[in-house]
Amino acid sequence: MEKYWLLLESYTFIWSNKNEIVLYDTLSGRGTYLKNNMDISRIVNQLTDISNLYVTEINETDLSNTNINKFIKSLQNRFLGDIYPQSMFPNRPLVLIPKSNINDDTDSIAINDNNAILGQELLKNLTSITIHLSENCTNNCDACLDSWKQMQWCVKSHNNFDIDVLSDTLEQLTRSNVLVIDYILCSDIFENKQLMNKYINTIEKYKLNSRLFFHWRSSLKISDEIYNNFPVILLIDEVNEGFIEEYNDYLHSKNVFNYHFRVNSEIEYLKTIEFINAVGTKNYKITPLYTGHNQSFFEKYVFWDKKDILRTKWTKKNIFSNQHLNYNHYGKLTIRSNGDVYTNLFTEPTGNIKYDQITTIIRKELLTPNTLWKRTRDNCTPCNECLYRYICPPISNYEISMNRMNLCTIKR
Amino acid sequence: MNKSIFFKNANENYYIYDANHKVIVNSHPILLDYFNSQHNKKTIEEDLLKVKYGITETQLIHYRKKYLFLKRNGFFKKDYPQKVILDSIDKDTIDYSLSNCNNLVFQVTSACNLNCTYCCYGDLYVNSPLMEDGKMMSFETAKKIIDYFLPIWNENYNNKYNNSVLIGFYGGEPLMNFIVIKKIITYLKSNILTVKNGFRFSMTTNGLLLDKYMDYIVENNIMLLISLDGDRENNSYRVTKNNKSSFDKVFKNIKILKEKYPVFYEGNVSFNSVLNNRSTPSDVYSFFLNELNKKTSLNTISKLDVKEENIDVFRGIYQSMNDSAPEVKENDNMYIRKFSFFLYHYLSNSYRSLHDLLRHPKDEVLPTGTCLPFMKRIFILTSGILLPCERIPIKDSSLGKISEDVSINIDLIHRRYNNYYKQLKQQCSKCYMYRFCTDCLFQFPFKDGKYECQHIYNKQDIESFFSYHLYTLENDIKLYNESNNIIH
Repeated sequence: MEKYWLLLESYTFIWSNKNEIVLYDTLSGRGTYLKNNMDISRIVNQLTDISNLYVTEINETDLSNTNINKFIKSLQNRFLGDIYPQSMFPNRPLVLIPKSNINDDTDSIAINDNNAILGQELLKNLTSITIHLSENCTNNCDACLDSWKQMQWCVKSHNNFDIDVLSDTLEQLTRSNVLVIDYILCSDIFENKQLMNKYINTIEKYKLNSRLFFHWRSSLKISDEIYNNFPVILLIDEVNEGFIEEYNDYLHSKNVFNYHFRVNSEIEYLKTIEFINAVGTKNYKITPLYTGHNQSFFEKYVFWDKKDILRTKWTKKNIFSNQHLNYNHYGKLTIRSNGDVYTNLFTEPTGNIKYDQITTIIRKELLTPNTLWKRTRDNCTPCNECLYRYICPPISNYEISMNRMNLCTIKR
Repeated sequence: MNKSIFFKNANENYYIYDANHKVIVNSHPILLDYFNSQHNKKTIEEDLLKVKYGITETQLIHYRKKYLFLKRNGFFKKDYPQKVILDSIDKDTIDYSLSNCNNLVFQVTSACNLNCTYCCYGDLYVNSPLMEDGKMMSFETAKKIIDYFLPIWNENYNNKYNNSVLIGFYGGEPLMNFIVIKKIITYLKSNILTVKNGFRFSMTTNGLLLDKYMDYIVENNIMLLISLDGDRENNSYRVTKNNKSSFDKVFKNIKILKEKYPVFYEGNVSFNSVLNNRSTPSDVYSFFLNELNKKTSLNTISKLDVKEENIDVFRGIYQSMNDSAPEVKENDNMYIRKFSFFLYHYLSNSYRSLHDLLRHPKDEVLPTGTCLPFMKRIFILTSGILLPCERIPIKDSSLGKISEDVSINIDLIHRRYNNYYKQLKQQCSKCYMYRFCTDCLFQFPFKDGKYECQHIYNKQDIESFFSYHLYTLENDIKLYNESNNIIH
């Protein structure tokens, strides 16, 4: 009787329970869902047994089993696995399975107290920083105090960032790998030209990749020099007559890097799309805002279903990332104008930039258990039991705002 | 050159390595036929393929589709080393390395109280012009470089939070200049590092003077690497200046240390042994385990720069080592590390840090595997010359000098390294291993004003390289899991 080697490809991930099997091919970025049963389960268990490394032996009897045969055909047709006859390949092949190994795994470091390893170039953990440079504002926008926690948005207080603290902060970042620093400025900063000039001069001095965010109502106050020297992102809380008028009269001729629209309802969303289509801009981003009363809007436009998840492209590295950290948050700091530094916008600040070195803050975030930077879907219910958890986007600020971890229709 | 490499191993299994994805995929040999037909722009006779491999029409269609699937997803692309290999680094990169250098190794003396037959600074080898025999480092020289680095270790540019600064003592036999070691440690301890965990110390010693200085060594928690080749017979090339065996004295010293300071011995002492024609790995491992309750790290005698007239002597004492021999595998993790290295560099499963999962590095490499200047350590010769490490005591590798002041000329280092990179880019462009090279350019022979690599991998070489690794892993599945878990 002919025997075969059945194997899963080295670029395939597999997760299963007694009812279903989820396979994901990281070459083409496509997921597959299959129903599980007793026959298939036996084979899957053999394949996923760590000592077998994705390879198992099957014979003609196995192949004549309809369930197993169908399963193998599904693997072959989607290039998730293959079979090799032992008559031609007598020796067991090896699959170098996609199993991650992270040297500086901070969980094991915390357990072993082996802090020396973590000391290696902490600043390299930073990816982006949002600095609320000026929070003095006389506008009275809706949802002012909610938005900044869900997206990059201005927030009102009575503080402006201390110029010396700004210099010291940027000095610390000169040897980091931080990709971008986003500065958010409220409208009243334009009443204090001297401070505004100091901010701009300091930002320019350090030559770090920087972007400036302003509410659209400030757009007339922004000098041409700023428009020309920095990527300027305008924040639009509603596409209303005032904004459309300003766009037509002034903004369309300006070098605006990106329009960042905030929407909280289907009507707002459609109005925004209509405006975008009418003016033909491609430089925009639309971000939904959860208000506490618009869950149906989120369910329609934000929630994922099984198909959305399976057709989202992930590389092997992305999936490892989803297994170990939260890429929505990892490496990101938000610094308020009073110096408070947040690694999680929904908890107390992790430190204050006036008193704490950035490396101290990073270290604290990395070595404290279950902080947001490392909070994966393994750490929350009901996601921790979901087969799709590693091919689902990590927890974002929306989940925290809604106090619901699964923004999907898979498991309620 | 193609980014995908087909190879077959001794178990008759076929694989494709793709450098684009850093993945090894199991393959049917028919995929190679499809690849060759496309590569050579020849029409493929599929009926012949069916006969050749004894496969059905359905199977043939499956493999054709599989080939196209892999191709559609980035396999079989052309590789352009000329575009990928850089021929320069910028000055900031060197500056960054210097700002983050946390390891100084002092050659406190080039004098030694032993006269080991195989010593790389001895008669057997062509001597380095930089290694002056019998010199002692002065404390003033050491103090100058420490004073140079103290502000660097404390400044914001130094990215290594709370990491200790590692100070090493090397020789010759470092304990022959104990006075300076003591002064250096006292001086370092009088300086508080504001953002670091302080200083850690290490020393490589032959153990001959251990009885005299062990209290101080233990008191200062110095990590000790003791060179000892095994029992009296194994160790018989390690002789004193009078050609007498050093074994009894060294062994006695180690025993005293072990008994007097058991905790220190357990945590701070490790051994290094050189395999020679008077020892076998089994002998050496058994000796250390039975007599000293330790493992040792076994090395072979260096093959580099043996004097022409001493080739016969070298051949007489040289003993090769099979790292896959059961006794070596059991006692030394170098075999696992070899595979770990393979998995780390060739597959996309291992990452140094969590943040590496978020980065998308550019497809660019520097020629060879040479460390960037200051990246790992600075080795300071007794004369004050600064070198990248103790293994390359040659003039061209010098990073600076301590005289009146510490002189590190970044511009000069920058120009010199970029000159080497430009020279080597041409050689590396022909090498299938260019993405994963670990060779140091300073170990290459220097001919006609150029460093010349002796290990340029052609297609067959890289195929053999992959075949060997996959064959070994196929026959030892446990090895994959062990190697993939190792910390680098």
